[in-house]
Formats: sequence, C-alpha cells, structure tokens
Amino acid sequence: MQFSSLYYPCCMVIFRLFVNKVAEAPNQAMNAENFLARPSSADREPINFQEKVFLVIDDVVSMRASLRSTISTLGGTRIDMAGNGIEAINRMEQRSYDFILCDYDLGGGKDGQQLLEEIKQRKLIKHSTIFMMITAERSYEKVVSAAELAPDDYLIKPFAGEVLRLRLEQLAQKKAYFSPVFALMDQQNYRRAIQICDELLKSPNQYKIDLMRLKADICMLLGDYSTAGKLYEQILAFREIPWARMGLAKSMYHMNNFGGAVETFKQVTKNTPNYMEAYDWLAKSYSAAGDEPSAQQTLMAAAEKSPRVVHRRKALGEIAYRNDDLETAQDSYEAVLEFGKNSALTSPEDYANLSRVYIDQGKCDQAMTVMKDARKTFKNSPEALLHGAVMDSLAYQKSGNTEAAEEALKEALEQFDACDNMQGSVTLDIARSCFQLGDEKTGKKLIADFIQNNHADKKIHLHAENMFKKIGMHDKGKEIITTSSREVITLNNQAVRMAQAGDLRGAVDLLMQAVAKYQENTVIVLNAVHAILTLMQAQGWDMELGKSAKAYLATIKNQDPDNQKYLMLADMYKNVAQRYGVRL
Amino acid sequence: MTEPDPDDTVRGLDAIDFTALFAAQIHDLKNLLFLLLNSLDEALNKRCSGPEIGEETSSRLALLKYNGQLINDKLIQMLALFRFAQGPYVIDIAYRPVKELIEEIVAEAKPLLGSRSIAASHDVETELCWFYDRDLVAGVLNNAIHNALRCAKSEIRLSAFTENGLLAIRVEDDGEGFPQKILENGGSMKNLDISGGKTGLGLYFSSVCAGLHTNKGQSGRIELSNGGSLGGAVFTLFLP
Repeated sequence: MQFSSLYYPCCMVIFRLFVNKVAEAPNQAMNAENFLARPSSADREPINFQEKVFLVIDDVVSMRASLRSTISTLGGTRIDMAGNGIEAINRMEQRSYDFILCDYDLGGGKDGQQLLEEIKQRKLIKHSTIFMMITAERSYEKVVSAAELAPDDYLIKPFAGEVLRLRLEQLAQKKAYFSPVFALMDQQNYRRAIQICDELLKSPNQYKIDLMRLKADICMLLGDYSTAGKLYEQILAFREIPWARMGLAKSMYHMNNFGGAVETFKQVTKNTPNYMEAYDWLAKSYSAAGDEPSAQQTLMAAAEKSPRVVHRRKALGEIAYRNDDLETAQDSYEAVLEFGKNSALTSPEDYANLSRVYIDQGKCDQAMTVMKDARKTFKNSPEALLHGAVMDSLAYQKSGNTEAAEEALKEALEQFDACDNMQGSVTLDIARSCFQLGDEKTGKKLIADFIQNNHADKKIHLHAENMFKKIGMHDKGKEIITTSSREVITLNNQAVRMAQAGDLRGAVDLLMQAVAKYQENTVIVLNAVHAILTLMQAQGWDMELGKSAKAYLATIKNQDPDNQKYLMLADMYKNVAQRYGVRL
Repeated sequence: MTEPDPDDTVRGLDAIDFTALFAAQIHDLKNLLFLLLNSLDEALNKRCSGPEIGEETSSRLALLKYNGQLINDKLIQMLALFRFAQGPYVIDIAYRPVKELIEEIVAEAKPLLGSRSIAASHDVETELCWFYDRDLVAGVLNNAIHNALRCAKSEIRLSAFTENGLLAIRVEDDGEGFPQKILENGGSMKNLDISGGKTGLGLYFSSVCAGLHTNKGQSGRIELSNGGSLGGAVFTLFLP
C-alpha cells in the first residue's frame, strides 16, 4: 500500500477569519447498513449544545466555575458538577451524560485516569458518551495506553472555548462513525463488525489507521492472529507506532512464535522504555520460550521503574518463587500486600503466597502471622479460612508440630470441600500438606483433579512440578501429572481424530461425555461447543445440542468471560443459529 | 524562646528538588492562566453580545489575552524542554486531518486579533491527513502565530501542503520579516544561547519538536525566510 493512497489530493479552501464559516454539508446518518458515508471535517455537523448534558469533574471550585462558563458560551445549559471521583460516580449512577469533562488531577484519592477506568469497568457511561480529560500537561500514559482504557481525548490547559467546541464536534463525529462497529461488538457479532470495518476501509478516510487498529483488535479477540499480525505490519509500514509494534508482538506470541515475540517486545521496550505493558509481555514470552531467568530479570527491571504496580509484583513473585529466588519472591509478595492494601487488588491468595515463601525460608512464625492478617483483613471469609488453615498446617509441619499440622489440614480439607470451584495455588498447598503428612491418596486425588481440569495450562503444570520438587517427590510428581493429563489429552485427541475423519457425531458424543467428567476443564468444554457447532453447521440445527452448546457457553462466560476461544465460539453460535433461522 | 536560626531556613532549601519543584509549579501556573484567560474570554464575549464595552476596552482585552498567551507559550516550551531533557521522550504520533489542526490554531488566534485589521487566511488541502503529535505541533504553530501577530501589519496567512513527501505548514505575515541575524542561522537553532538576554527559546523549542518527528530515516525541521506570498516573515514547519 502506498502512503499517498491515504489522502485525497489537493483542493483549496481559503477563508478569512472574520467571514469565516465554511459551508457545511449535511452529515449523513450513520448506522450499520449505511456505512459508506465518508467523514471529513467539511461535513461535520455543529452540535446543539443546549440539548446536551454535561458533567464537569474538578476538585477546584474556581476551575469548575470557569469550565461551566466556557460550556455556557458554547450554548450548554444542563451542566452538573462533581468535586471528586465519588461524587462523579454518584452523578453518573443517576443521570446519563453526553459529555464528561474531567480534570486529570483530582486532588487526593483517585486521579482522572483511575476514575475513568472504574467508570468503564462498571459500564457507567454509554458508548456515545464523550469523556474528555483536561490536564495541564499531557500524561505519558496517553502515548502508550491501551485504547480501551484511554479517554476519548485530552485537552491541555489553558484552552479557548472555541477549541473545546471544535474538539467535541470532532469527537462526536468520530463516535458516530464508529458506532455501528461498536454496536455489533456489544452484541458479540464480531464477524459482522469486521465486515463493517472492511467496508469502511474501502473508502480512504481520516479514520483509516483507527479502523485498521480496531479490525486488528477484533481479529485478536477472535483468535485470528495471523490477520491481526498482518494488519499491524501494514500500519507499521506507514509509520512506526508503539501500539502497532506491540500488537504485532502479541500476535506472534499467540501464534507460539516466542522467539519473534521476544525480539519484537524488546524492540518496544527499547524504543519506548516507559511502555510498561511491553515488559509484562516480554517476560511472558521469555517464560513461554523456557527462559525463566530472563523473564524474572525483565519483570525486576519493570518493577524498579514502577514499583507500585501490584499485578506485576505478583507476577514477579510467582516467577522468582519458581526460580527458587526466595529473597526476590519475598520482596515482591510483601510489596503486593503493601501497595494493594485496602484495595480490591489483593486476595487471601496473596497472603498465602507470602506465607509460603516464609515457610520455605523457615520463618514459621511470620508465615502464621501473615495468615492471621489475611483472616482479619477478609473478615474470616471461607477463602481466607481455607488459605489460612492450609498455610498453618504447612507452617506447623515445618516447625515439627505434626499434631497441630494434622489438625489444621483436617480443617483445610473440610473448608476445601465446602468451597466449590476452588482454583489456583491452594489446591497445590493442600496436596503438599497431604503428601508431607503421609496421606498420599488424598494428595494424589487432589492433584489429578486439578490437572485434569487444567490439562492444557502449562503454567499450572510448572507450579505443580515445582511443588513436587520442593517436597522431594520430583519424579513421582511428574508421573502423577503426566498420567492425569494423559487421560484428558487422549480423550480430546480421539475426538479430534474422529472429527477429522468426518465422524462429527462421534466427536460430539465423546466430548460431551468428557464434559460430564471434567466439568471445569475449559478446553474440553469449549472443544465440545466447537464440535457441536461444526456438526450443526454441516447438518442443521438440533434443539438438544443447541441447548447444550448454549449451556456450556454460559458456564465459560461465568468463569472466564474474556477467554478468546469463548468469544470466537459465541460469535460462531450466533452465526449458525442465524443461518438456520433459530431465534436466540 | 529562641530566635530561629536563619541558617536552618537556608539549609532547608538545600533539600528541595528544584527541577521537580519548577515542573510542578508550571502546572499550577497553567491552571492559573486558564482561569485568567477564561475570565478575559468572558469579558470579550460580553462585548460581542452587547455594546457595554467600548471598542478601545475591547482591543485592550485582546492585548491582555495575547500577552497571556505569550506567557503560556513560554510555559509550554519550558515544560516540554524539561521533559525532553529528562528523556526518553516518546511523542504521540496519530494520523489526523491537518485541517482539524489548522482550525484549532485559528480558533485560538481569533480572540487575539481584537479590533486590529489583521486578517488570517488559510489554505489547506482538504482530506489531507498526516502523522503528527497534535499537542507539540500546536505548541509550535501557536508560537509562530503569536510572533507573526507581533509583526504583521494587516494579514497573516496559514497554509498546509505537501512538498517532496513532507508535510509543510507555513505561517506568513506582511511585516518587516525576520532580522538578518536570525536568518543567518538558517532558522534551525542548534543550541540555546541564554547569555544574550533574548533566548530564542521559541525557535529552539520548535526545532526540537520538529526533530522529534521522524519517519523512515527522515526527521522534521523548521525553516525561516523572508518574502513569501505576503512579503514578510515566513515560518515553515516540515514534518516527515
């Protein structure tokens, strides 16, 4: 593609400042079926601000007043004010806004970006709402932030009222242009959304790059990494843009090209050293390529740059623990608790992680104190009690108090049975305690279930192996892991072979049996859905199978709503249903 | 009661990180300027909606606002250069219509014209889009416009076009033109001479901002000359 194809050549517009209104062409209405309208600044429609509802968020009274007066010069009259994040959220819960002007610096507490993230997470604003961040200086994060968490635009103080008007008009035009695509994405109709992007891309326009990015993002969601990668490459051929380089690297990672991903993420961190997300992915790629020490080093460098980011500290603790670097693990998990205190960012598991490091270091008292803290912080929630009992039992063992250890393990197992769907490290901790106290049968059963429900999760295998190594059962542990996962893999492969040989019905039956056995195994459940949909696509809709597929999808949506294969299959389900005229 | 030791106060000053302090203070100053300029706008708008304020007051208000903008230019330049120096600075390249940018620059400049008979016109290729950092480029162009406003007799012209694969944005006026000394440097300020009183900070800032725009081995630059279509100073920003 040639760069010159990006714009229309020459056509002069001249106007005098004092006379200055360019004739406005009527703006065409945008909807899913009318996507050929070509936007340009010439056909931008003036907004009747009097009909619009504004929210101004700023902690300084005089600043709010000043913004109010600017808005009223544009003709706006319905203007609400908020002095902090909490007030702003209260307002948004009661009223829906067209324009939100938010100062980045809101005094103490949340800043504008954190507020925006909460608003987006809680879906407090409509898609059409325009969120404008107002700031004295553009924040660095803007340059590198993920598109979905960024405000619609930034406005740098001071600015003239006229500029605010122009910006709001530009943004409203852009929102309207993209709204058909976003509407389809909301309905999880991703394929159609891509088609609309393609249609829009046919006519060159100012949103070309945004459209390519959006299309690439949707392809990533659907697991079509190769198309996404190509789109990012096309963008990079125009211009070196950090997010495009990042997207390309992610697509490589997902296509299991870990070497390429490492090189490309490295390029991002070199060109844009503050693009923190790139470090997380670089570490992930190193890990996937089997280079754990480099992964740890990458995360350590990132943690040094921005020490307060809890999720990264967690990842570092995990990897350092796996690498047997207990000092770094301790440091990281302590930081997680310190910086994540009193926020929704920590869970009892984080306390258990730190406690586990203390136990391995022989600091049994500290290990138990941490869990006491956890129980207190989480007000004796079942999860906190479970983690607490397990870690206590391990700590008692380490300090030689077998009787107390057995008592604690008994409590832990009771708690474990009472909590359904317990995932994660706690299972490994309980199993470890069982093995150490001589109850091999229970330990084996726990591990087998855990592995069978996560047979394709390499990280969980690594954690399990590491646990066995720590208790001196490396070979035996490996055997337990392999046997447990082999059962599921064999079943799954058998089904895949049947499907490949054309026996779709057989594959469906086998996978549905497998689901009954390994209900929590996401991969198996999704494969069953995939097989059902492929069968129905070829042979027509089947009421019973359709119902099962829907129910399976619902369970996954519950557990892992962002799972990419789930999104792809939810889309496929809609398509197949539509094809046979099934009402959803 | 003991008298406070003046040395203690001075020693306290040692502990202040002045670079960080200055950067933070610039934020506060920009906030205050925002309030100041907004009140001026209010006054100017009142004048538009009724005859309460006379012609003369109105042109004084415009002059006030112009001087406020000059202060803002300096603050932007200082803050940006500070960030560049802290490095590494990543510019926010996005693909945007050039016309959008020009419209904003004109909207910012309009209230500064007052009752003077300076007119600005702009030529822009419609549908011309480019990759550029909007805030940096706006900083450069606003500064150029403010310089032109000081020198122009009656007209300023703003134009954008492509030349040899580069985007060119040009600000012209019908004043006396740049002094020979500035032109001798070719307008591309390589370094800053603070000793001479007038620092040329604006031009230095502009050339750094232009240079931060790079693409496939090419980087942006500024060019100064005299003459042009209005016979005065010509400032051109080239972006790859």
